Amino acid sequence: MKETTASLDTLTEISVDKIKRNPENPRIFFRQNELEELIDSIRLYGVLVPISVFKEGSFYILIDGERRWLSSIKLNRKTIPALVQERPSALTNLLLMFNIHSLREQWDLLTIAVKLPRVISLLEQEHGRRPTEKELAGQTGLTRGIIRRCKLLIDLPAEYRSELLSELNLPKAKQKISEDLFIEIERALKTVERAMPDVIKEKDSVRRVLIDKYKSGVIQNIVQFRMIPKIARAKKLDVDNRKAERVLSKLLEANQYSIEQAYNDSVSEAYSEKDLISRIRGILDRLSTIDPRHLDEELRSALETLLDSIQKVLRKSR
Amino acid sequence: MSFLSLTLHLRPIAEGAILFFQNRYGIRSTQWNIEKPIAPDAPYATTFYGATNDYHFLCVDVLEASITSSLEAFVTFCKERNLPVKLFLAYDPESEYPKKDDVRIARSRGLGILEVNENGQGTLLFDALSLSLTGVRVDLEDFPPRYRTPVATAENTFKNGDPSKGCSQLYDEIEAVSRRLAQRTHRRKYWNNFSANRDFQGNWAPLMRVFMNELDESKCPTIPRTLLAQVYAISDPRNQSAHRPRSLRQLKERDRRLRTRFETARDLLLDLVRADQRTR
Repeated sequence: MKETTASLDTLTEISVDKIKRNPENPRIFFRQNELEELIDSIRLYGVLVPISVFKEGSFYILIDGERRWLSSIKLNRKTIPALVQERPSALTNLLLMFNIHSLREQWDLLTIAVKLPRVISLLEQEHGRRPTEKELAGQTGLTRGIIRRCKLLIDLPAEYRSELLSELNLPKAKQKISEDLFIEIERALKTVERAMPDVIKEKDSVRRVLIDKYKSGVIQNIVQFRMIPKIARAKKLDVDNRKAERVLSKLLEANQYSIEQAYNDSVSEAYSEKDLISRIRGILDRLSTIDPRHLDEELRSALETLLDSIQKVLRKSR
Repeated sequence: MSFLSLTLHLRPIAEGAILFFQNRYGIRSTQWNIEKPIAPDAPYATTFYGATNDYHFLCVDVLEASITSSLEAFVTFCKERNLPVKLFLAYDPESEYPKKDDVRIARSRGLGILEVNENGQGTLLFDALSLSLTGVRVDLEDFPPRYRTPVATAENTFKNGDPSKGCSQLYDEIEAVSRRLAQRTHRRKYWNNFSANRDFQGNWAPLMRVFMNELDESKCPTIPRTLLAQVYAISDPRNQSAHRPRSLRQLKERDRRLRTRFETARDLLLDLVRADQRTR
């Protein structure tokens, strides 16, 4: 198909050589196998959804459709269907990226995090103040939860962001560490800093210890990091705070001591009890709603068994 | 090297592959074409390609998964156009690819496989054949079992970069069968002039000329004169000269000619073998 003259908001065929990547595109990772699938699809069916561009000089800058463009280049297609739009402001350009892509498949969180400070800065320039979380969510199409997670990633030291970037470049199956790992570590360490400020002497080396423990399998899954704040909040459970501090200090040193062990050595019993008390209260609430005159046999039998067990435990505890 | 569509973590694989082939084929770094098609109407652009000193295109595609249908379409394009392309697939040895099926497909299409490790060192698992030669028709199963080995050997020689020699190997078989036929038909007095001292081990071309002229078709209808004429036509070594190509155009022409010659020789051998069976 020949290249046609492009006017605004119309569908035209544009030479692939005249298209350039949008420098504001937060997406910095293209998984090769996904691109290869798209290439095959476009070879069979063509580019079904036109890309979106705006004109800059004699070139067109991508707003949406970078993978379709790259696939077309691989397939030696000379032109690609495109919608030419009005040139956006720097802020609109960036917000467009976010809004278009937030409707589609999952981005790597880091790619959003990397661009978020620029969005914040541009919004600040435009409105004369930093946007609130709610305003940022409204403008970008991201949820507030995602924005908070992004902020955790932005605050990471550069070396960890770099480590994460290298990892995210790999196919999903080969990735050993992820954004979620860093997010859980940061959340855990924040709680420890607040509740037991003396435990963390050097945050950076503690981070490294936890990452290495995860990579080596001492810490087996990311969810286990949620046990760390529970240990840090030992005081609230009337658990010996000094014991919890010792356990955490040991966990945050380079050794084979796992989070599970730290949890079991400190607060696990207290949390089990708390959990049991909560369930007992739940049962008591339910029992208060039962009419004893209409007790069925199965429930009666279960209550009698429960009563027996409780009496045994109480007798032994004296 | 500036790659556009190749994802970041595969670029070291591409760069390692470039270095490997640079060393192997002497292609200078400035001569590589990155993500460009080899022809204006090629359906696909491999990760990079260069030209060897013997006028072949050396194309490399860095993959992270199975061979794609787009790459297969490119292979078909090269074969149909008789393009002397050697296509290699480059992989990370840590990758789960290529899988067994990919290797099988690659080998059946004449594609090479290169692995490039994290240090940028390349290991060639399989060499590539020129796509202008791989499509030659052989159909081994048409031949009686005793002929399949020599025909398969000729095929391998042909595809592995020496098409002239592959043709010669077929001619050797044709010569052997035609001499045997000449001797047998002479012994049975199917010739117009029987001579007890006739030499059947001398030069092939003169023998075939005599055979063609002397055989009485009425006594031996299973060996038509036209068949002997075809054998005679290839028996003269002056007809078999193959000059080294000096340009891409000459290489394409040579490969096309040799493919035709190989397939013609293959058909001729089969006809002779069948004639041989009928005259037993």
